[in-house]
Amino acid sequence: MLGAKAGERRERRSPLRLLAGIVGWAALLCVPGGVLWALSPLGVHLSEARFNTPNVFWKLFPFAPLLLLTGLIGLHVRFSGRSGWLERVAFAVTLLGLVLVLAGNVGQFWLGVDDLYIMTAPAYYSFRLGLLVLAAGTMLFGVAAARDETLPVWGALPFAVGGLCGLVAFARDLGSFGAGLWVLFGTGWAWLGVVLLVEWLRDLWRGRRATT
Amino acid sequence: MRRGLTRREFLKVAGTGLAGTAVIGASAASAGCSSYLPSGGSRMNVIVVILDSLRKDHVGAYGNDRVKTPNLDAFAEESLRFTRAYPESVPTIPARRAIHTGIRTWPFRNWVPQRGETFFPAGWQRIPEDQTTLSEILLELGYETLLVTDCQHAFKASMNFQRGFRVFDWIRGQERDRYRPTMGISEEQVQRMVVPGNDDSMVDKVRQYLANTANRNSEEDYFAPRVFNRAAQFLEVVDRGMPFFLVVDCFDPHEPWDPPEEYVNLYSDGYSGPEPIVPNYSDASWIDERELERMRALYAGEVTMTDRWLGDFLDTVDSLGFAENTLVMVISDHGVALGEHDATGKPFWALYPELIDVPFMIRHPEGVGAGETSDYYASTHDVAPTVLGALGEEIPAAMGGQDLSVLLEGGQPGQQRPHFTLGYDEYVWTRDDRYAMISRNDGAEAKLFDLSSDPGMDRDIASGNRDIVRRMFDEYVIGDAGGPLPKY
Repeated sequence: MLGAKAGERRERRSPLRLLAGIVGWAALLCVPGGVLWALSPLGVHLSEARFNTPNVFWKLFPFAPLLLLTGLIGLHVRFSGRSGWLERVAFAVTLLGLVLVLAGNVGQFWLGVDDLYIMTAPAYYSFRLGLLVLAAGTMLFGVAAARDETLPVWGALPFAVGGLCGLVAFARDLGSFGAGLWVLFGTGWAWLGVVLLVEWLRDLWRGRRATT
Repeated sequence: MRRGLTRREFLKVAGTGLAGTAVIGASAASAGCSSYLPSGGSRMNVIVVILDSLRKDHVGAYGNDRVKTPNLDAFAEESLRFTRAYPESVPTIPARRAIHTGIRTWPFRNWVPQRGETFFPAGWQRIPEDQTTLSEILLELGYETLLVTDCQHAFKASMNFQRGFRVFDWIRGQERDRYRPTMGISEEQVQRMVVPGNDDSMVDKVRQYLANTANRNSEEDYFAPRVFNRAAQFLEVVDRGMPFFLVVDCFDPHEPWDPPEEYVNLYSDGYSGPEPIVPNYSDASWIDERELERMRALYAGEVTMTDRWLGDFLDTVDSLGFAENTLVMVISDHGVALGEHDATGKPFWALYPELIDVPFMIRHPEGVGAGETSDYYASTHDVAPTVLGALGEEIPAAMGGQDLSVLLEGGQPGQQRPHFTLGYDEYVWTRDDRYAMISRNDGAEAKLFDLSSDPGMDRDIASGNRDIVRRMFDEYVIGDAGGPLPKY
């Protein structure tokens, strides 16, 4: 009996588990990532006003999907063992979308890939495709998280709705309305991070009450 | 009894408020911005080749089997070819204004004659300051913009054709360009290149031209080779990091017609006598039949030489790998009369096929529309919107021309054109599927032709069809002009 408890403690302290715990906390990066994403239309506006081109903003944009990517991985690690197949598929789709968005943006605005391949414009189309895949993955993730009860419904559904807003906004340029939907997509991710934070704080509170 | 908000109600209210705030806030933030999405996507290079005075009926692809134009013919096989293309106005300068701006110049309202010119047809004036050119738009879109031309009328800075071009290169010496002093040219030299009937103005043109071209050593020193070789040099050094817009504006096969002998010999032999290298802009009574035949041979030789160097240039486009990412358009601004309808050169009244039918071809890098034809009334002012349309860029509302790139994919331009109208100084020409009509700006001296039985416009049937003439003038000419035509 004593030996079993000692083994449990060892497992709890193992480096792998510790790392998983840290990565799990990275899910909170969805908050700054989502907020940055939501501020994109404002960033475009400021960039145009200050530099006469939106491209200065677009060069800085990768921080948003990078934070979301890290947050998503943290989320996946956090949910591992509890998530069903649909959530795992959604994770893969969302991850693919974020990678495409990142690669496309860096390729277009940092590496100038599209200036070499002007007809195929691989970076730009990777970015646009990535947006759609990301939005689809987000919707799927929200639905799956609600179904698998890894997130409360009140947390998962707004996230899924944000994904739907993104899907519409990313499909084609809808002007100011599209910009609003773009903001809602980012807000959905920030909301997800806030929900996780609330859940963890609640767990923490319950844990402390239980020990007292 | 007071009741607090449930979590559900709170979320509903908060969510709705948040969404509303986001949409309104983002709308406000993005107001005035171009887009919340980054711009990008497929970009093409664009090359527009203008061949001055190239008659449609002298191109093999348009049915000519006498004059050799193998490169234009090969290009046509890879292009969408317009079978009913006309300049919206004639001659050189108005036609080019339309090409560069996408805006009709006819009916030449508010014409301001340019000081220092030697030719004064209505509409012959600079690009107005308030009109935006295609090159200015493309420059703004990040294109490298390049212009090479030997069209001396266009490269006077006051004419504004250089606007929007990051690089422009004038090849001096064509026609009347006051490039070299004429003192060294003897009267005997001049007389070898004119015929007795040539008027003084044309003799002066030849004198200046001979002075300008006195230092030629080989065919590469002729104008068409120089223009196309210079354009090819642009391609060799053009920055691969940005798309380019190149206009190659070749004044050949405009007169003077003095191609190397090997080209002339393709179409003429046994001729001895002074060379009729320039036509009077008049009726054909000044030239005899033998001289006229020779003049036709000289023009045909000039066409073949131009075709040869165009081909060289297109080979360079291919060999440098630009064929797969470059939209290429070839168009002429007008033709020239060589004795047909008792006219030579470009007299204002001679609005017949030899003067107004032009070749117009568009080669898309992905091959769409290749080998196909369109009978849409395509015109010079369609060039700029077509380029913008093909690039997926917004076409300014001021451009009255149509985006013809939709025809490449089997679509139809936004504007139906059941008829077309063009003008040259104080004369107008209009046509529909059945008839063509020529008249003065006030409707006088009207001539009518039934194109179904008389496509060459040889038999005037106006006297028996006054109602048709009146209808075409009132509905087509006055309708398209938006009111009575100006008189100068």
